[in-house]
Amino acid sequence: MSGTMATDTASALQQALGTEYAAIWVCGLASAFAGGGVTPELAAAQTTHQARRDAVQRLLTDAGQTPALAQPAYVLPQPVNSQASALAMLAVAEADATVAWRAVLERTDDAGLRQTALTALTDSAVRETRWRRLAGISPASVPMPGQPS
Amino acid sequence: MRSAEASGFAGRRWTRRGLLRTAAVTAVAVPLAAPAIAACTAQQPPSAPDPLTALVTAAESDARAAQAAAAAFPDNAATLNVVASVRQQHAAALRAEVNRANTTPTTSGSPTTETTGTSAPPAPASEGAAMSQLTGNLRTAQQQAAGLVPTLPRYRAGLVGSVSAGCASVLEALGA
Repeated sequence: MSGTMATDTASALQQALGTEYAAIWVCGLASAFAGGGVTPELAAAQTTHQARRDAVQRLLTDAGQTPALAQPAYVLPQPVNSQASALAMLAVAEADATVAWRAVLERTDDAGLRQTALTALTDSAVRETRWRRLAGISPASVPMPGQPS
Repeated sequence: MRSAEASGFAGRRWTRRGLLRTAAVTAVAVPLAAPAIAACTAQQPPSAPDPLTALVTAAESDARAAQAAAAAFPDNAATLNVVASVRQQHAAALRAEVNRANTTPTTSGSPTTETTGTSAPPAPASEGAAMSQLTGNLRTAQQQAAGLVPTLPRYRAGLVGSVSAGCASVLEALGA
């Protein structure tokens, strides 16, 4: 299907794609520090973000847009050198994804795309909470995921 | 990346031209449409309840129930107070949007305000019963908000999406 997509919708989706790339990269980095029960959670997170990356790339391509490319690496706001700092970084990556996916909700009227965005927003909010809980951050819950601060 | 920017820029020029054209048409259309719009809003307020009002009510009710449970079961008060706080934030954010959308110069007294002193829900018999009731309510609230997302105006879709995801986050934090 080759359709059209409003500029603001496409731009919001490109942003969301960027946060998915970053989340995949952070999952890879975190795997070096993850042990015990974290490893399967991390693998599940990576699989989910990869699937979402593929889905967004397809959405953009089908709408005649060129999906943005992943960065080769990302600047970390804090050094990652332990499981706790890796978990905190994973939580930040998920938080970035929630902001981007809420922005998609606010930039489309398409019910299908809104469902996709809500599913991604909710999934990233749940994972952010899980990483925060495992990192010992209290409270672990996020009241309004994706709300720009 | 670069090619996306190039095509975006080309697209923007078209959009701007389109915008100018739209603006010219709108300038003519608005004076004709304005009286009709004014007439509509003057008649409308009582008929259509704001769809977000039900979400405000649910959030306030959950917050009160979590507070009551925190008082009844002090061992788990910290967790229950977090639930209460999250649902209070949901109620406040939703109420602000309801008030923003429904405050018109001609009507007064319609905006909802925080309901205080409403009769507290009956205290659950046990901590387990309180928790299962709360998690059940949070699941319902998550679904209720999610169900509205496809049809709401854009800003509201984002707000209500965050409320729904916030309920999911609390459930995850509770290990539910």
